[in-house]
Amino acid sequence: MKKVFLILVLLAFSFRLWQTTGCKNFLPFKFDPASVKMNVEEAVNTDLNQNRDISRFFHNKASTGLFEITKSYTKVLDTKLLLEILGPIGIVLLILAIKNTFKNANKIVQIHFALLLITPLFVMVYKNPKTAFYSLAFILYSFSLWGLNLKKTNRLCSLLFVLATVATFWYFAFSWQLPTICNEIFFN
Amino acid sequence: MAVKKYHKVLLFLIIFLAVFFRLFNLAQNPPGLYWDEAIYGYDAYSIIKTAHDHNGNFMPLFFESYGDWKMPVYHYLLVPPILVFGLNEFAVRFPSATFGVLTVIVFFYFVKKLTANINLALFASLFLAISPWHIQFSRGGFESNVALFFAVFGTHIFLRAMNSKSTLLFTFSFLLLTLSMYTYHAYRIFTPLLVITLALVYKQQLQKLLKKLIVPVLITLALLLPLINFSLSDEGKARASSQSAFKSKDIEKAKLDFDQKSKKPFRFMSKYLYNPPAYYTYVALKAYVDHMSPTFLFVRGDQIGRHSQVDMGQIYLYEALFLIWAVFAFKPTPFNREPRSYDRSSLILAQNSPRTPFKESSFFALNKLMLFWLILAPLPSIIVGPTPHANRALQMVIPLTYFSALGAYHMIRSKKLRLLLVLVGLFALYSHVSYLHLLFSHYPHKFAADWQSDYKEMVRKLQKHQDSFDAVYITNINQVPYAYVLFYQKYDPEKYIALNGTRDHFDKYYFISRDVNVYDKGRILYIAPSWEKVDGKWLDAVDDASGKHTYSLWELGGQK
Repeated sequence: MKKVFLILVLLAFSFRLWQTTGCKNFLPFKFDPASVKMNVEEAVNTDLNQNRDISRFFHNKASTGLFEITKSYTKVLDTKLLLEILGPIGIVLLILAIKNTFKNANKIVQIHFALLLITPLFVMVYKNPKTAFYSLAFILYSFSLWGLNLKKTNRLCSLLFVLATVATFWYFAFSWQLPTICNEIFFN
Repeated sequence: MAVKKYHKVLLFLIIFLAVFFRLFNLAQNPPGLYWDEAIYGYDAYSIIKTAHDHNGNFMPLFFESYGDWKMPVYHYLLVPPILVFGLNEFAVRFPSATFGVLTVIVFFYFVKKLTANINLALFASLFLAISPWHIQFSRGGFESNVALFFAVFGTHIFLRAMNSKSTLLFTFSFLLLTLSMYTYHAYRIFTPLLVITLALVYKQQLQKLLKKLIVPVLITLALLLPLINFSLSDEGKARASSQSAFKSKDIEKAKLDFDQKSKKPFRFMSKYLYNPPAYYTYVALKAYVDHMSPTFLFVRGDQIGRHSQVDMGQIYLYEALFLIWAVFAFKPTPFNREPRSYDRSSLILAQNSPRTPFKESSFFALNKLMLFWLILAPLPSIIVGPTPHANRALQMVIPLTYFSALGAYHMIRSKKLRLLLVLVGLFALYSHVSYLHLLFSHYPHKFAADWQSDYKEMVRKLQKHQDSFDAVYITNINQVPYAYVLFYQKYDPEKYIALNGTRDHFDKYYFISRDVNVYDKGRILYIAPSWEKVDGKWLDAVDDASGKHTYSLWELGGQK
């Protein structure tokens, strides 16, 4: 049964990757350090009649930088983007995989999870958005497969699994324009 | 005894914080009255003076407002503060701010009663007291905030009623939950779902109490009849129709796009794929996911300036850590079991769970309730755009706050995490002080336009010049200036109703669109947008709270 699940999931993921081949212009995930300076200046200018030291306490490169990096990081791991890449079945598998990470002390899974958390940091510095996207997709797809490591599979579970896979194909068919991944998509 | 005193002091401090953050400088910040607030205030004023709303309806159950229909509770709640404080910004926001504070207090007792853990209850109420999301909606005249209070209080009383098996308490609880539905549109969807959730989570206990529920349910159904009737009418559907996220023309557009640009082997599928149920489910799923987005929650909240600080998330960034930690504390395990600080005397529902030690079953039931609450909370906001919408999904703040508190509480109990906690604590303090800086320093300037802060100044200037004119023409480029002319002049509602006033004209005031010729009206006072080139005598300028010039007052027809 697990093999059937695996084939279905791989089919869904492959279908998604195939869809991305129509993308002419991938959206950038790159963190722009210039945004830190700009945001600090903008915030300081909003502080009308405020003591400059007080203003700098709240709006400085350290705090704004941390906030902007977090913003970029969450953008890479945003639920909308995850749904776009993984689809409903991928999201379910991702949750199960995370659960597995903490429940079973399997070192490989834990290292894989750590990689998943670190990858967005690299994605944020890649210059090429296409490479950034495929790196992210690879780590997400590979990690979510740990979710298939189910101990028990009953009929209901299998049925739900198949339904979620069908829902994934349905979702991928609708969101073929990949709005959170791609700027411009068309097939000639 | 000493511990109890200490807890009382902490609770008092939390309430003080809640009051301060919600009531300090309330009349000036937010910087102006949003048009809904203006018309709510004037309708309440009209009720006080004439027992009719400004449209002339006697004590209405539903209030017509700019082509839309509003629930009645907030309007009637405004009557006492307007009687006491007069018709002004403070009075219009007072009920929301007060109910915001009351929610913090009720939330404390709610968590305390269910977990019998006073420390966790203190954490939960503290997190709600300082929650940017909750403060934002407590400081404006938002019905959603009052509805949230009724939902939380109603749930609390419901759980107490189960414990005491009291028909009276059940009736009171249902009355509160019904009130939430009569307060804000979103609760017409959320409250029934919440009641179903309560029934499912506490199924075992409720099965034994069915007889006690008959009278309260019958009373509730009777009270709900007008609302059901209204919901099925065109008026009740007006809001959902006008802002619906499900538009048939969108399907056509999406289908056409698919036909032209998608992968060639799949283009034939469009006729099967693009049917209303499938497409609308896709739209709803996307909208739902929007509300669970970490970007929305932690770094960039609702992009409508009235609903958030925009430059930060709906909740604090550090809460992400606590929320993740709450996952480990969700199920009662030896790790998160609380051996000492449980106050056993206040535990409820103990007798209903013979197999599991009670404290755990009650705690786990609360966690389940909060989880379901969180899952259901965004549902009312997915049927109308735009999303994510912090106002329609405000009910999310309760479970998010609870889980943040749960995570924080369990982190604090872990000795291994002391150093991390110190760092998080410092970051949390800095985040909160920064938020206060944004709220009290940036917000009044930055979001002046979102709150129509210029209308107060406009009416002041209008009053200064209007006596020498028989007719005043005001641009309605910013929607509904008539509400502000009524509100800030405390215009006699009886006169307004007698004159059959409308949003386009009453008395000597005309509210006009750009295409109206103002040069053939004789001698008039014309209030024009600042950028409009007017051939007349300039009289005065109107600036908004940020100092931006927004309107000019002109004399037309008399200067030659």
